[in-house]
Amino acid sequence: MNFKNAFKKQCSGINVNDDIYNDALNSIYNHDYSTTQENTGKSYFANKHSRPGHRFIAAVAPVFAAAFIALIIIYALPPDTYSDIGTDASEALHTTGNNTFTIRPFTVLAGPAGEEVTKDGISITEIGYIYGRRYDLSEVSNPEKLTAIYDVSLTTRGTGISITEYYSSNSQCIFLLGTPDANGTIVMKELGTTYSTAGSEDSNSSLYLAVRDSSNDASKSVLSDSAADSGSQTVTSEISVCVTFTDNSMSLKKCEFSAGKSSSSHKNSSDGSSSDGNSASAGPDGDVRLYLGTDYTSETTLSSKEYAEALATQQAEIKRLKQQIIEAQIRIAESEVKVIEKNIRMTEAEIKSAEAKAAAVEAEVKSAEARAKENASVRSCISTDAIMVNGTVYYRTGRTNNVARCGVMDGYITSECIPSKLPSEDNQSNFGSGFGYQFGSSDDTIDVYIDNNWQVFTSTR
Amino acid sequence: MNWPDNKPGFERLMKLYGNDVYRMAVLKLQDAEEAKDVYQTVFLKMYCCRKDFESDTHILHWLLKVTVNECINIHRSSWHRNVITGTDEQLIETADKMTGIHTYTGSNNSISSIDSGSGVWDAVSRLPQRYRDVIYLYYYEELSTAEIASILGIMQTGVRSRLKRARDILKKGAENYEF
Repeated sequence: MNFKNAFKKQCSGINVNDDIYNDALNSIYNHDYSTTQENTGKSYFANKHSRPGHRFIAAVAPVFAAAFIALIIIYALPPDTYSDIGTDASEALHTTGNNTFTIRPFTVLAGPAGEEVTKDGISITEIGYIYGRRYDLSEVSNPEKLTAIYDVSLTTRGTGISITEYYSSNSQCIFLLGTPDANGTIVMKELGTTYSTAGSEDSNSSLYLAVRDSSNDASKSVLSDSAADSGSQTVTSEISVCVTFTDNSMSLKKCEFSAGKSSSSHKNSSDGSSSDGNSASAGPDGDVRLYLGTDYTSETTLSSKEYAEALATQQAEIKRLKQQIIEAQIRIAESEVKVIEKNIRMTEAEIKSAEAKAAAVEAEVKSAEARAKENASVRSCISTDAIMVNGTVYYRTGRTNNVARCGVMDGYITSECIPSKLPSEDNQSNFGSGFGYQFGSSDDTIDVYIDNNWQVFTSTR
Repeated sequence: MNWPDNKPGFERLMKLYGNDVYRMAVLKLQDAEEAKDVYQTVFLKMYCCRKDFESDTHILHWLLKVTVNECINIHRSSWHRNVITGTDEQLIETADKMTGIHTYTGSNNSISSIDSGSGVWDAVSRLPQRYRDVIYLYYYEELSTAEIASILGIMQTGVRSRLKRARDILKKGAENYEF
């Protein structure tokens, strides 16, 4: 039985009776069309046309929501009055006991030239850079223990700074506050491992970092040449700069400070120093160190005249080295030119040689082609099967003649020669022996019985 | 067609296509009252939309699609989701009573016992709803799979797979039927 017919028969029995029809008509005609949306059918057949409004709302709503949340966040946060201090993003909120503060990034400037510190740490410059300056260490305790003094005139940039604090983690690295007096001499005052100042740093005073020797032998000053020659120690300290702003937020910057060089560095410096014990030279890492004389209270810097002479000497040396470099570059360029010219000459010779070789090869190719043609013609002649009977050479025609004939042979091929030659004797072939033959219907043909077929050979080609 | 002034024309359409709409609603909803509501709603929408139809086939397709969507809306309504309407046998009995063309015979009309044309409606009614749609549209309305896909809003491959699965279910108890 067919399912389709049975199903249609069943479905045909379901019909709308008059009650349902009349109810529907009454409902439709009495419907309040003012509340009926027109073109309702479009929601079924034209969804693409009815949904754009919803799609637009769905697309725009998240944007507005995100903007609203962003506005709430912006207004909820305190105003950022220190945006000019640093370029890094604000760090997380820190909590210490009952106090909560935000660590803000900021930029620290260091050194007399005002170089901006790197991201990894704080650059600290030795005072060896500054010539013609006197230092008074009378207010520093045990000044003979100081090995070197560095200019760490750190400055902070920003507004709303209340306190700037400096910390040194190593007691061997102490801060000195240098204030110039009327004569230009920098009077050093010992500060210890911490130093704080209200607001930004005082422009009149400069902060220095001194490295103190930890040896108990007071008679052995590391500032002396003898101490320098005996080798030096490396002192490492973590230098921190903490800035507290007026709203109690804080910024912190740290760097690893390492003072002291290898003994070889000391020796090199001493070897290049003058006899009075003062020297300024560059170590292996490029830093400049100033070694004070045994009398640290005496003048420890070069005079203006000596400085000018040294400067002139250095400039002359630089000029001489530059001249040497230029001459070397010229010599290198000349040698390169020679090499290039030589290469050019070699290239021309190679081109001529290649042309000659090409001509020879071309001639050889032509000769080979001619030989090949000749050989081909020879091969085509010789490769043909042939027999000699009664002094006549007969060549295979490729045809067969299988007409009925008697079984008596007129003769047999009794010998053979190499295939590349024509037979030269009677009853000889160049393809084999033992074949019988009969003379053909005409005088110039012979039928040879080969492989159960009578192959036709002819004397004319 | 000038809507809604042309009432005789509209009533002619209701008589012409009303049975198709009503059968579809009965088969999908298995409830006489709800099918009646769907019947009224579909033609009310037709009366309101003042749509210009291109052909009779266009009218039939439009009505069937609106019917399918209206049945889906009813199934999605909170009443349908929260009320247990009874077992399959009870639903079939309700449908049979409403149509008046078949007398429910209890478990003897299960799928496994289809042996005559009288049990075809029962077998189709026991199918899942998504299979009933395609069986009705394919075998009764004789629509192509493309047309069914357009009405149901699914892919043609989906229509074919539903037809195959529905036939497989029906064949289990009706081996003597040719599909």
